[in-house]
Amino acid sequence: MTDDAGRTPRQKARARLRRTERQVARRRLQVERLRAQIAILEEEAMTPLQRTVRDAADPETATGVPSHTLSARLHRRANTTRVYTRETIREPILQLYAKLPAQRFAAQHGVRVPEILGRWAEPGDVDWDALPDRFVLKSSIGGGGMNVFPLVRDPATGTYTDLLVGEPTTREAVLEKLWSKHEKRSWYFAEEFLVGRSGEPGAVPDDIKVFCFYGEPFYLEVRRGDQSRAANITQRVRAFAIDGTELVNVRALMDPGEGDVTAPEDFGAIAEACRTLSGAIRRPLERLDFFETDQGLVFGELTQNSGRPPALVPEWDRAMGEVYENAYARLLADLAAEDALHVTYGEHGDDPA
Amino acid sequence: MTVPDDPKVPVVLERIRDLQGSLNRLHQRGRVATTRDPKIRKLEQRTAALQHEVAELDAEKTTLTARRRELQRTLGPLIGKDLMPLARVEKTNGVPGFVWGVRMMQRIHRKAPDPVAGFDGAGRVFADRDATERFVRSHGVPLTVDDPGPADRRVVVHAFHGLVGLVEVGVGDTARHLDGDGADLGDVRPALRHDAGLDLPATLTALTEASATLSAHVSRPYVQVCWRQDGDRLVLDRLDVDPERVPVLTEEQDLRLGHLFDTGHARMLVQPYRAGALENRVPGGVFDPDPALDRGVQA
Repeated sequence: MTDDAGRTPRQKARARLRRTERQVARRRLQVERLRAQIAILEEEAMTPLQRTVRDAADPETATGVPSHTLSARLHRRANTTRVYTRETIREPILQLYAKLPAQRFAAQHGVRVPEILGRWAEPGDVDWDALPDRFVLKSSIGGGGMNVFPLVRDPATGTYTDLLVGEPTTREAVLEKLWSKHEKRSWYFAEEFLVGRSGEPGAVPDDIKVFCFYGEPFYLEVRRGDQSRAANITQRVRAFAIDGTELVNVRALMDPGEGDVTAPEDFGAIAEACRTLSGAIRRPLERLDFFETDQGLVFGELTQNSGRPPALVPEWDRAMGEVYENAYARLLADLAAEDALHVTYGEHGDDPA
Repeated sequence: MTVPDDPKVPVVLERIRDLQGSLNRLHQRGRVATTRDPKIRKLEQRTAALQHEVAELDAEKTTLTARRRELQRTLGPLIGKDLMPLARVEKTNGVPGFVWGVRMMQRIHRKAPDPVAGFDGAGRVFADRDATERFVRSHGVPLTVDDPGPADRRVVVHAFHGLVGLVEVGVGDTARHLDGDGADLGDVRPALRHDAGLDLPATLTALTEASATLSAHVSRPYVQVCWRQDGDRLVLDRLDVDPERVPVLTEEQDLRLGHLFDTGHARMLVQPYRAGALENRVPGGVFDPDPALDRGVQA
């Protein structure tokens, strides 16, 4: 006896079983994700003091454990609440905040950067006719892809497609958007259109964002659709340890989306580039961004304080916090070896007592 | 039909799948008892067991979702909302923490080849009485002040690279705590019995200022400058850059001192910053920002 689709009762029973197995797998993942989110939020609900002393018998001798989240926020507050400004420090990493100097810095270390096709002082100066059919037009400042336009020109009609949003556009529309975000310190440049490893010629390569700690990369994410201007495109993320181990439900508050984000192929090359660049920045943490192409790894930009310092599940937050503290230890060792960190004696020679 | 790139779509699809699952379970309950085929019975038994698991997981999901919402409500006031959106948690700056900051910097310095000294050698300097006295004298600070008082009186000045955040005046197992301006903080430290009637040293302001001066020349964000009664005088006992005990105060006071720790941390970096030691390195030297090449560098 078969049903309308010609299936026997056994086939139907097997199909039901497979459906239920899929339901169980989906539910398990959802429950695991909820547990991870709660673990993160329970930490967030505690003050730094509570997170340090926890249930110690003598709270005043509790030494606490490392936390990447709390450490990253110390540096972020120093920048965003003007603590450094008040203390007359301008962190040298800010020299690399803009894309062009960051790329020059990477290039000086032998890390490949995109070829610059032209640079202009104002949007209106862009020499469109001198550019190839595929290029990326950018402003030197701004984050989240707001001032990034990967453009492909149709030679027959002269019209463009903005591949970040997947929509047709015109020179005028692009210029209008650039002008709307223009600042006195802005500079505009076009760079080669990078193609992701084994990707279609028109595909924007995935962003590889690596969290680095004074020469030690530890955690990375591959993101697709992570641009503020592409609001109608769902972001997809996959996370990895630097050795290539995929991490599921570790940064559980961020929706990973669903889809086909490709894992990096050459984790070794990423780690090597990060060790070189991060080791040359006198700061215990920063994020370095790359693209993986058929021509190899290409540096994109760096961020001193990512807009979202990742909140990881407690065991990973502690592990990344330990890496941060080791990095800070190496930095202090280097500063002390250069006699740039020490107790300072005054000029009074006599005992005033 | 193509699915639009709408972030809500996966949620809707998930809900549809859940409803399908519920319907399937309903149908399944009607079927299990009717078949006589042993293979089908086995498949259906397995399916029933899994459906039981789905039901258990659904119940757990409900409980966990409620707990997550409760935590989001707890966090909401931090951003002035009833509920903290999950995506917003990472965007917060968090709050400073005094004990957290001090302990973090201690853990880092204890990784030095000589953990007592720390990377900057400060711990070794202040473990040596002669070296400590040389340091204190070099800053024109007296090692003793005339100030009669109880034999077991002590004053601990908690200083953040030139800023005094807390002054602890203790006699035996009682103490009074004041802020850097001398305002009495009241009963803020559970580990010590508060005694509002405890007399303050006549020289307290001078001790506080001297301690602030010394702390400004120690390459750490935080130091305890400890004075003890010796006859009719208060004597500088030690500078402790790696204290075993760090005051655990009320949350409000920990936050206040946490802000001072943030400042002390920044001030610690002023010395290497002015020495050029924080410059970005490139082969053969340091990175040279070139306005002509790098237009777009932050002003």
